Amino acid sequence: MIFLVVDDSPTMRRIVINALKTFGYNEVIEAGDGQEALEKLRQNKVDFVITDWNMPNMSGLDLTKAIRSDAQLSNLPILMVTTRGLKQDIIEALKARVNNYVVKPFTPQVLKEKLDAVLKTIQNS
Amino acid sequence: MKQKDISLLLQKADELRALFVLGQRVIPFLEEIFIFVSEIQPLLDEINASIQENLKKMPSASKQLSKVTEATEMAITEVMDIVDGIQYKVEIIKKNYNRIIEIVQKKRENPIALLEALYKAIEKGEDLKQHLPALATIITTMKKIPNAEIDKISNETEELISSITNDSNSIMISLQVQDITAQQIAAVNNLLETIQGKLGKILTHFNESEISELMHKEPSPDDKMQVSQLHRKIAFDPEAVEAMANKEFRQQQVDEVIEQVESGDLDEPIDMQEIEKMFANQNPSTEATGDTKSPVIEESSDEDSFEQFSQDDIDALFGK
Repeated sequence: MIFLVVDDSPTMRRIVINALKTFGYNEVIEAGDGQEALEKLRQNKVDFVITDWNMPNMSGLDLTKAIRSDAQLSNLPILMVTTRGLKQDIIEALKARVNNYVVKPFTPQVLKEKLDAVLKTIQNS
Repeated sequence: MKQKDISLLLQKADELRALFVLGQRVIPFLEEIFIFVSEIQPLLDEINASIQENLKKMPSASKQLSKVTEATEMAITEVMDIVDGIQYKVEIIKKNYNRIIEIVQKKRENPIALLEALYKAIEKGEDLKQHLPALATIITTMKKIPNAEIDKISNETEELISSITNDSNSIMISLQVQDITAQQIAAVNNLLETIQGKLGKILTHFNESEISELMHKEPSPDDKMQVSQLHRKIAFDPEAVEAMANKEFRQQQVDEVIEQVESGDLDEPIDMQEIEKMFANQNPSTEATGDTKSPVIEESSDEDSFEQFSQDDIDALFGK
């Protein structure tokens, strides 16, 4: 399974990638913002997107909307990982059709739980 | 009237005329001053308002930086405590390892001596039966050798390694403070840039004497995504540091929300059932259509939408 980790913070990307490797997911691509993520998505076969919300050039929310409106990418599972914890943010993310939502700071266990939940939903559908 | 008096009168009249001439010349200048003061009044008001506004922002910037320092110190202390713990555990693991080596070496000593004796005996074609007692002793000793101690050491080491794994996870959580503080510093930087921009604009306009332009309000910045340029572009959430400061509180809030969800007492403006239906594993619409996409959510009321949500609240929304 190939993951795309999108975050403008190199530290956060490293933390997420490190956690993914601990879970046994070794194939990971990185992007620093939504625009770069879209380019990487068009160049590579990606199975799962983990994205931050606050990013320059293109936010995680806009990336989610772009993915959902792209016929070839629209079914990609998306996990939003962000510092934003306001109810209106969560609702907005849901409207943009993210598959799940994790608030920072998170534990690797929480990340794994959410990943598994999304993957389980996909498998069941 | 004396000649002298007339002369004085003429002199005074002349002085009076000079005064009127001066007055005639001064009046337009006074008028200009009056107009200037009238025009500058709004400018002074604007400067005053701007300074007041910026002064109000300064404590906010200062407070934000203080929170950054606090969050960084907290995270660093956490990491240092964890590293101290790891070092202690590594020392125990080292001791355990040495003890295991010691035990294994002891275990090997007698069997090696016997094997060498057997080797020589076979080489010389001797009767091997003579070695049977020694062989029996070795077997008994090997059975007796402190397996229990090895088991104990192994278990302890296993626990320590597992604990170190947890510690590294905790460090990973603490290191997320970098992202959070970077956002906070970006927010402060943005604030300072805004103040600099406003003051700069006032000075520019003041120099150019374009008072009417100065009175034109600057359009409010796009608050959809705030980005600040530091060593790289950083998009920020001005309240990011709250995520770090409130992590214990958030957990408490989570438990309360879970309780509320379970008891059906959650006062939510959004349709909880709808969201649960959409994201739960048993998704009827998804099962029916085979569509793995997250469904679109209808518009909902945004009242009370500034409440900070924790991971468990979010779990509740997503129908964990």
